Parts: sequence; structure tokens; C-alpha cells
Amino acid sequence: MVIDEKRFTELYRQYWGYVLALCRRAINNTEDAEELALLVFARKWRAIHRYDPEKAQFKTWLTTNTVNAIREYLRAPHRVSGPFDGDEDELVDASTDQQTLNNAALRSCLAKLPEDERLVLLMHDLMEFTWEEIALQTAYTVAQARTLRARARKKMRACLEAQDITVDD
Amino acid sequence: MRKLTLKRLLQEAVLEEIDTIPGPGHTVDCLGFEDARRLADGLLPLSDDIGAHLRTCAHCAKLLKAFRQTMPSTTTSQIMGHWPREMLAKLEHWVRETVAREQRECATAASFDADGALHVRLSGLAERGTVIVYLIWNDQELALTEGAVRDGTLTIDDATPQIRLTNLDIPAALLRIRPISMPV
Repeated sequence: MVIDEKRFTELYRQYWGYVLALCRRAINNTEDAEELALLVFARKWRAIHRYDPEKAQFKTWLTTNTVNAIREYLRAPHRVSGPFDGDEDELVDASTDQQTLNNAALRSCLAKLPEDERLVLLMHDLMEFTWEEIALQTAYTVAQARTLRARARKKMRACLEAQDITVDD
Repeated sequence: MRKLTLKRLLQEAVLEEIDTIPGPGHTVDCLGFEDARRLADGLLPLSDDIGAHLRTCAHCAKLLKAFRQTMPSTTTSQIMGHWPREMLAKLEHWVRETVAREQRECATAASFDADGALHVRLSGLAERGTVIVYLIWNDQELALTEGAVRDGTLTIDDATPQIRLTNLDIPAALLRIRPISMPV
């Protein structure tokens, strides 16, 4: 089955939030995250003739390319690394429900992680890549990727506990 | 009581975020993906209507930028080579007029010699690696050729791109350099 432009535009609308959210969580710049998300879709449209729905779901295909784009962005020599410019210090109303509080705390803690640890944690725990897939997508060995995730989890737990949120293993 | 794991927290936080993200801003008036690609690759002429839309639609301007950043390197050196002669003549006339009008204010940064070879004299550049050299015409970027920036100096990969222009000086103000693969 060939994906035509009409269908691709539908998929673009469907997955725009997903790709943008991944980019926002992985890089420290909300403005660049939008451009990065558009870059992913532009690349996918250019390569649409190579997409085989029988081999991979569109979301999987998109996720793999999003990770590649994020890694290229993080490696770019001209990029200025700085504190997260988004919502790491979101102000939440005292009446906000617990889940919203948890989410705000999580985003804040995630933004404080080193980029390599954050990316591996997102790939494993959010995008659900296997260790072998992470090794294939990144420059890390499986052992290195496991170590990065373990460090990330330790820091996340400590950061969340400082905000009175306890998470189980 | 529900067990709260880091993984579940992470997934719920991102799901919540996805719900709050507005649509991509793509309306029925916006450029389709194929038109944006062809425009970026120089295969679709920039009409007055599209130009007017691009000036007012941030979404399409960003989409076009994304397509320019993903332009295949094999395409770039041929883009203007595919232009009809009339279009090139129009461009050439406009560049000559610009040079004549602003001669005192702008230094020549590139030129096509009598054989059609392109000579670019740009140094002190902040970009690194492979770049595309664009000519700015009517606020649009036209890909001239590819090159590489090393130690701030640009070297052109193909000194004789497939552009049929000769004896033409191009002021620095009409040139733009962009890295090929990365967002800026």
C-alpha cells in the first residue's frame, strides 16, 4: 500500500503531538523542538516511497527517525547547551490534581538529566526500544546504555523524592 | 492503590503533554507536502500567491525551511540548471541591476566567470562542515551550489555548477550559507 499525500497529511496531524512531545522532552529548547519535529516529517515525506507498511508501523518508522533527528541535534557543534527554556519550573496551582503535579515534577526532573542519560531513558521507558535497538540507534553498547539508564533512574528517583513523589522500581 | 513506577509516570506525563499540544497549524490554504518539497528543491516556481501566503503563514514558512534542510545533496547542484533560460535571464538581469544600484555599498562575494565557473570569496564564516550556498531573490533562497566550510573559509565542491550564468558578479548581501543537515 502506497501512502499518498492526503494520507500522509492525516498521519502528520495524528502524530504531530507525539513527535513534538518527544523532541521537547529530549532537547533543551522548545523553539528548536518544533523545527526538529517538522524536519522529521519533511524527511519522512521525502522517503515515503521507501516506507513499507508490512515491515513497520508508521509510528515505529516515525519514532526511529525522530530519535535520529534528536541525536543529530544533540551532536551539532554549533548548538548552545543551556538550561531548559520550557516548563521545568512550571507554576502549579495548589488545587491542581496529583497527576498534574506528578507530571510537572517529572518534566522538571527530566530536564535536569544529562542529555545522554535522558535520551536513553526516553528510548527505553517511553518509546519502548529494546536494548539491542538502542545500541543500534546510538553509539552505545548495550552495557553502556543500561548504565546510562540506571544512572538516569537513580537521579530521577532522587529528584522526584525531593518533591515528595515516591516511585517504585 | 495503583503502583507508581517511573516508566508509568513518564508515559502519563508525555501522554498528557500530547493532549495539550495544538494541531500543527496546517490549514486547507497551506502548502501540501509535495508542493513544499518541490518549492524547496526549486522545481516549483514561486508564484505571487505562494509568496504572499509564505509571508503570513508561519507554519508553511517553517515547513519550507524543513524541506530546504532536508534537500538531497544530489539535487542541489542541479536545481537552477533545470531552470528555463527565460527564468535564468530574469535572475541574471535582476542581479546585474542590484549590483549596479548598490555598487558602492556591497562588496562582490562571488562571481561567475566567462566559462561559467563559480568563484566564491567568503571567509570568517561561523558555519562548519557541508553547506549550501543560496542566492537570495525576492526573499527566497535559491540553491546555487554546495561547499564545505573549514576554518571559517568556504570551498566550493563544484566550481562549474550546472547553472548557465557567465560574467556575473554577486554581492555578499545576496548570498546566504546554510549547513545541510542540521536545524539552525
